[in-house]
Amino acid sequence: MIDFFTFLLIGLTVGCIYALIAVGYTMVYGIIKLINFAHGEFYMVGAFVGYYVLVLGFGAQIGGRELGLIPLLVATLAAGVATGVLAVIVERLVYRPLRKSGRIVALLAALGVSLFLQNAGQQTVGAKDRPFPNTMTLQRYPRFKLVAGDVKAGEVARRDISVVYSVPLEGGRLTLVENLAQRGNTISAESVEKLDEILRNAAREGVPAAIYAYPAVTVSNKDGIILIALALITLLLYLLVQHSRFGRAMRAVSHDFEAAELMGINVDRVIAGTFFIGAFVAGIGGTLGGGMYYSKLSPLMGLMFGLKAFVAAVIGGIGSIPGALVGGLALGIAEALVYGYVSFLYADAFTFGILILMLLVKPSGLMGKPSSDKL
Amino acid sequence: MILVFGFMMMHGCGESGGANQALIGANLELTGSEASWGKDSQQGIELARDEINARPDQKIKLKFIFEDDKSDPGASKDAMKKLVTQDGVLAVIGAVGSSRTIPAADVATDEKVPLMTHAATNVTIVKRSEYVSRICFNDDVQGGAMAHFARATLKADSAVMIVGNGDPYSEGLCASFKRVFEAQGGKITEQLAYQKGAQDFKTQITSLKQLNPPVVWVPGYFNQVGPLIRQAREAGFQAPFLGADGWDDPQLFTLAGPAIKGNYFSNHFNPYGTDATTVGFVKKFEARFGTRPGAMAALAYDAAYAMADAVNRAKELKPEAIKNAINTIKDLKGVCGTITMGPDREVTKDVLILETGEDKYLFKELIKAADTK
Amino acid sequence: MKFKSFLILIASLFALVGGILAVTAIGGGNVEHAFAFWGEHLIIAAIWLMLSLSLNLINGCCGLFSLGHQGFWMIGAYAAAATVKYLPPGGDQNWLGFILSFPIAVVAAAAFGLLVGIPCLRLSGDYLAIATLAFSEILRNLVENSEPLGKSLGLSPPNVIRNATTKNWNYAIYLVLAWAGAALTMLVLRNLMRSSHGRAIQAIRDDERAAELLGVNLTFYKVFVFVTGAAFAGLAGALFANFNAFVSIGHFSFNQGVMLVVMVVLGGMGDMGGTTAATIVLYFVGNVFLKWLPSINVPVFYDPTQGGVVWTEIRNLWQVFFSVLLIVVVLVRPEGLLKGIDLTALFKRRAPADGK
Repeated sequence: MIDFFTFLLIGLTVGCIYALIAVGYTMVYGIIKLINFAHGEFYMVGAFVGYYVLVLGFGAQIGGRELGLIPLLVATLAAGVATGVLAVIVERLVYRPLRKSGRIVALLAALGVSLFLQNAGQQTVGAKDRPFPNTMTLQRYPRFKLVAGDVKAGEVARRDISVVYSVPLEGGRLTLVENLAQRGNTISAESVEKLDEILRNAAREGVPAAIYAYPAVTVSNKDGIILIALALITLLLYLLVQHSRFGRAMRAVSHDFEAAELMGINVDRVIAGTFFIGAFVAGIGGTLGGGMYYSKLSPLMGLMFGLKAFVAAVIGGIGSIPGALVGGLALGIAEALVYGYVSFLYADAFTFGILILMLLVKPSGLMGKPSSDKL
Repeated sequence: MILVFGFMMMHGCGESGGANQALIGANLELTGSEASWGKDSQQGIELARDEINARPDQKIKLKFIFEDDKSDPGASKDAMKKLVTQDGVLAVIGAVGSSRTIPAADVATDEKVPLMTHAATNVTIVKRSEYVSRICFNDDVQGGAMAHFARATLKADSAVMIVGNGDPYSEGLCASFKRVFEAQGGKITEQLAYQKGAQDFKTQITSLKQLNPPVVWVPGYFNQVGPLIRQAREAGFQAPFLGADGWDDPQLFTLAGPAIKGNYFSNHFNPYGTDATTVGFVKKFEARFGTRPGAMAALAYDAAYAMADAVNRAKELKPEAIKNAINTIKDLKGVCGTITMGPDREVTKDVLILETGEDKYLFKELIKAADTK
Repeated sequence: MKFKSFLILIASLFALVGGILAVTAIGGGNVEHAFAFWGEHLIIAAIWLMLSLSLNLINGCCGLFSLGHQGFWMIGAYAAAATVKYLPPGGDQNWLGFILSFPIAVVAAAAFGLLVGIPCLRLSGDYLAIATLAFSEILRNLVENSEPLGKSLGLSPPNVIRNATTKNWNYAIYLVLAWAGAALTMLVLRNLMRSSHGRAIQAIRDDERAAELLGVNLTFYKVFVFVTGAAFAGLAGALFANFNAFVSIGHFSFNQGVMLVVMVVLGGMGDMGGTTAATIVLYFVGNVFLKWLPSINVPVFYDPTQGGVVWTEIRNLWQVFFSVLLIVVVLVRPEGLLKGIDLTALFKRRAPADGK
């Protein structure tokens, strides 16, 4: 039962990342009926922009000080904006001339853009994996404070125990977490020794150190940031789409392209704006997800995530923003549950299987409207 | 146009080397996901080649042609074919990854040109034919050594294995670890898996916490093991992780962060070793290339010396004669131990067990070859 | 394109290579190595041609955008490999296995063509593309986990022809087999497209609703096109498995599929001659000529985290160039760069230089 909640939480967080990417897919599809194959690459570009902002702008170093929330925020926003601009450029150069040319041609162009970004990425930033700069050390919550006396060698730990302490570093400090015991295991003498040493060093340097015990199911600060980011973005998107003039224009164009044009709406501007927003959100997903959460960047990182996010968008109903959000969360949770309870081997088959199932059974997705277009 | 092509072909084919030059190929992962190992190997070979050719008694100069297998099996086959049919090399060193070396071994067998792998550890590779040999220990030996270590030194009576799905290296090592671990009385509680390119291991780690084994066997490549270990420690999982030579890369430290310390893996070479041979080699390498050599560089260095030994002893400069000379290499001292080619074209070497410190490897134990069964 | 021009094309290719070998011999180079080199490339090129022509039927002629063609190729290749390896009596000279591997591969691939085609009847355009891609990836995942299919190590069936003859005869025989296969593919598909069936297929591409109203049986033709395309891909797979004597999932990746799609697009959707030209050009440029580029490094990026200016070899930029080419072609000339090229004319112009 405990595992179930843990899997649920894992799925929720991953699902948020899928949702952030899926939103872009769905918005673009809703407005010009194009599956932007390159959208996964926007996620990747966002992650790299965030990386460079932190490294070049804030002087991040491997093994160096934690950068903190503000630099992360700045990097995330920069990533969103940069990715949005990239999307607008791509739309203008590649997709707009093809708007009247048929869906297959546009899909081919999108494929080309995707390949271009991947390969250009490999040649410029290099195919090697890069760790993302440390903006914050992962901390789990809730947690209960303990004192050194509570940790006795030979006793069986009733909860996970770790000591969280800081080490002063050039320009700031680095928070480290040392695991002392795992729930159900005996606390070892080495752990207690390590604890004593850490407490001693901390006292000497004058930096904080605290011992914590954790319950079986915990949420981390990084999980929290992603969940909050998604919630915020959901709110902003809702306000945008339902309560702003631009949102009305977006809805008009996606409902009926020609009519909107005839009504005087600057369709080009609306489409460019849609691309910007979708990529902006994906870029944020890249920095927070691929970057902060997984801490591993590579030019090919957008492939798998992009494909899965697309599946999520289809599940939720392509063209529907709430659908993308629901689909993302649903896919994330389903995946985690399948991995946890069934098997890890057939991961890809499972995800693609769901895609095919949806396409065949309910192509409009869980929340979409059936449209004769798809048949 | 035909003349141009013909010319290029001739130029390519004619260069089998003059009377005192031996053309050797190197089929390495110079680009792609394991490029750091390929580049490492190339540097090791270059260092060795220059030393060898500078020796006053080295009458036959070695010339190496490097081809990129792009960390992909199909491209490895192409690279091998190019080296053998177009460049006309006498022998080939490579590749690093087992999935790339297997197709290369097929080409070597077909074209009757010897292939010596310096680092690919999958056991089936050298079984293909007498044209394929290996100068490092294989996965049976590594897996066995780590299983022995887990039972005898760490006193673990059970373990969970995490295999990299679709990776012959990882799968082979899980098989050999399990065999020896169970033969020595241990029990494999469960086998989990991750997909190639996976970033998120949290579900596996949740299962791991629930299973609560004393050790975890993760014989994968550093670029996935690093994040896996990091995520495990972040989730509060404490038991040590065990691995094999696929962990060896400076990126292991950056991808895993401070969480990496206190785990163990088997390797051919300890770049942080303190014995004279190692220190001497590391100094030379750093002076020339500005970075510390990894095990791949050291192994490739030894392989180049092995090729020189074969070339010097061969009756003539033809692939067949080189093959015979390779298969009879005896007592060649290298940076990674002594090379004596056995009748099965494998070498008997001891296995180094290293512990991961915060930013370097610490020597833990040396397991004798005999104890790896 | 006219079948005659296709045959002329084949003849010219062979003549070209023959010329190269002659020049090599005269110049004192190693003719055997040259023969092996060019022979191998010609054989693989033929296999690619079969794949692109069969994909052209599905994508170009019928307008069904399939991104999963590499999956059919994979099925054929694995089916053939498994047959040659496991069919009793087995061993290195499994002639029965060899002979049977071809029909088995074709049938297996065609069966999957049916499996994929039927559900995809209701899907159109981009949905179809994604669905076919998904099918192909599922198949790859399943094969990757299959023990008898070698999992990640792949299958290494014996090359029966090679084991029964010499290295050179091996290349010669496969040259004949592969190009016979390509010619067969071309002939069958060309005749198909010239028949009334072909017109129905094109009608579906041009306007599905109209075709339906005019009485074209959409279901039948869509499935037919998938099955036929898959069958020829399976045949290509059998040739590949037997010649290469090694199949692994790495050979059938999405990137390969994209390459096939680009060949069809560049050549002009539905234009077999264009597809042929595009396939041959792209194959040789990407796999042969690229390697002959001098090792020049060019700066591509400035990155303080990598120590400043980032250099890369020109030949590494092929993939980047390739993707840009796709975009440009789609933007500028969606009917394909090479559509309508009359290859006969091309080769007639070349004849004097051939020295024939």
